[in-house]
Amino acid sequence: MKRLARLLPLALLLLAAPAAAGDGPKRIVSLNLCADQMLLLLVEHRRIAALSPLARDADLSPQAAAAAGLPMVAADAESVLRLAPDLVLTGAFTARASVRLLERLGVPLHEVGIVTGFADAGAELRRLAARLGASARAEMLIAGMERRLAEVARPRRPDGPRAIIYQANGIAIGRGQLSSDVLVHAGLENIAPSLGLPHGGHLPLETLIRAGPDILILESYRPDLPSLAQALLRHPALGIYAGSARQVAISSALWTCPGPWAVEAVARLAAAGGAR
Amino acid sequence: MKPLSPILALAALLLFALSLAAGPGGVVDVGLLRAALADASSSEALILFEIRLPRALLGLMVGASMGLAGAALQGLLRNPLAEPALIGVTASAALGAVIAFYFGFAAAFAFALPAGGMAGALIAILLIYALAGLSASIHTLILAGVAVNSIAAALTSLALNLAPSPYAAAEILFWLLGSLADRSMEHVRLAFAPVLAGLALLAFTGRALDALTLGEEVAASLGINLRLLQARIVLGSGLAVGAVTSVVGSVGFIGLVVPHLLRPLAGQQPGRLLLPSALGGAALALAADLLVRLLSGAQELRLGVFTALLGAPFFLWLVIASRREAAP
Repeated sequence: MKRLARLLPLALLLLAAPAAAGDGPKRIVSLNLCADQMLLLLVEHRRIAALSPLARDADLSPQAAAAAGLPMVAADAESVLRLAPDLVLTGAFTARASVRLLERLGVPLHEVGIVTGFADAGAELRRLAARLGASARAEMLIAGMERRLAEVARPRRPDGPRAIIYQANGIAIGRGQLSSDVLVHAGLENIAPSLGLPHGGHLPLETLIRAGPDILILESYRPDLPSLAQALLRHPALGIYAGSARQVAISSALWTCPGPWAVEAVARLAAAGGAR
Repeated sequence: MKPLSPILALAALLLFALSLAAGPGGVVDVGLLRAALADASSSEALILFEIRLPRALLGLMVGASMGLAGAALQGLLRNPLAEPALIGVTASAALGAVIAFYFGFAAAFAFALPAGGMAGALIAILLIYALAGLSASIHTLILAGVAVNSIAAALTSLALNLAPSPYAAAEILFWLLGSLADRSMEHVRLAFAPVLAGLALLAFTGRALDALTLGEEVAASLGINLRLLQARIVLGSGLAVGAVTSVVGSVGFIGLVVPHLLRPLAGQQPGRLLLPSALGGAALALAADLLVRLLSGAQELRLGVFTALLGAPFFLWLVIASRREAAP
């Protein structure tokens, strides 16, 4: 009986939804970082009930400042239900058990897909916007991004700069990620596939140095916090090899999730590549 | 066996050279060595001196430390199962190092890392002494070792979970199983002095250990200062094992396997076993690291996996053999 009573407001909201279809959901909860970003771009803040905790992390979230004023929610079913949302945005890696529970309880869900580059970034944005009733806004954003991308993108030259993205723990980025797509649009050649890592993976330090990339992008999360994973990126051998000439610093926030900031990353890398 | 030490020294030297020549996947490329020695500013030289050399040196250091400490502890405790990892010294060293590294002490002051390891190691040895005493039975020593190992492992896991860095929790494998990968000359510099000091303290205890086999009273009557001997072995093991564990993680079983394998060849005197154990340990560690490079796929295999694969069955065999001795 108590359970039914708790579900009643949700049921009422769901019944009321068709009548307000034009405006879209009014109490949106997001449990995924990239869903947070898209939400902040597409709808007014008063329609956002809560964002994921990562939204406030300036090292990962490009709109951390905007997210600072909004409530946060942990990704467990009980916390989410307490907010009585009319739409919950999840990602591919949101805790499966929690998502399934919410589904069983009839909460409207929308899963934001994994973006592998600028092409499907637009598609995901449109798909979400349709659900939110913000399609016009989405089209404006996508048009703006495409315009800016056309401005800053560089074509691939056969003798162009060879680059690699090297993360903590020695993970190199392969093809099929937003970051690798940024590299390609900046006119750089990602050497990870040629080193036997077409989908990325662990790259021994030795192999990296022998490959001799022109541009080294070291990416790690919170480098100020000590860890062995982080310490690898400060290995003296890498320091001597990279010096100051070959290193480019790009914040993870710029290419973890698709958006106008990723286009700015293209601009930055294109400039770095052009300087060689 | 007269030429035991020279043969082991040669083996260690050969494995050291092989370790310098081997790259990822165990591929030996002599061209790289030639290019490295020809041009000191080349990327090959960078690889040889900044990546491979520290790896090989740390292999020598961890093997020698564990082998020598194992032989010395077995002589002192007159117990065939005494070795740094089995009695919890290595795990406690790892705990000390984890606290020093992840909570900012090593960032502020580089030597805090080996210092943490040494502190952990020394506390463990003193704890073992308190629990098991100087001439404890095999069972008492093992129980004490299990206790110290459990506490250290649990606290290490807790420390890693509480550490501020999000990468920390996943790094427990490094601390529990050890690895020589991606080490730098910085690590060698940090551990070098304490390891050398520890080895020096342990190396010259041979005569005293030989006398100890005749019993404490006889040894004392021969002029052996038992307290001093204990202090030297405790301090020496703590320094060497603590420092090297703080930079390569826990590498177990070398101190158990090597002295046992070499004992019949060195005669039954503990004193004669010290130098061969150090050299044999160094050779074993380097050989295991070569296997690591040869057999690692996408995921790096840990050094401790190979020493455990060798050491654990050996340990079981020792237990069975000791039971057979006990039961007439």
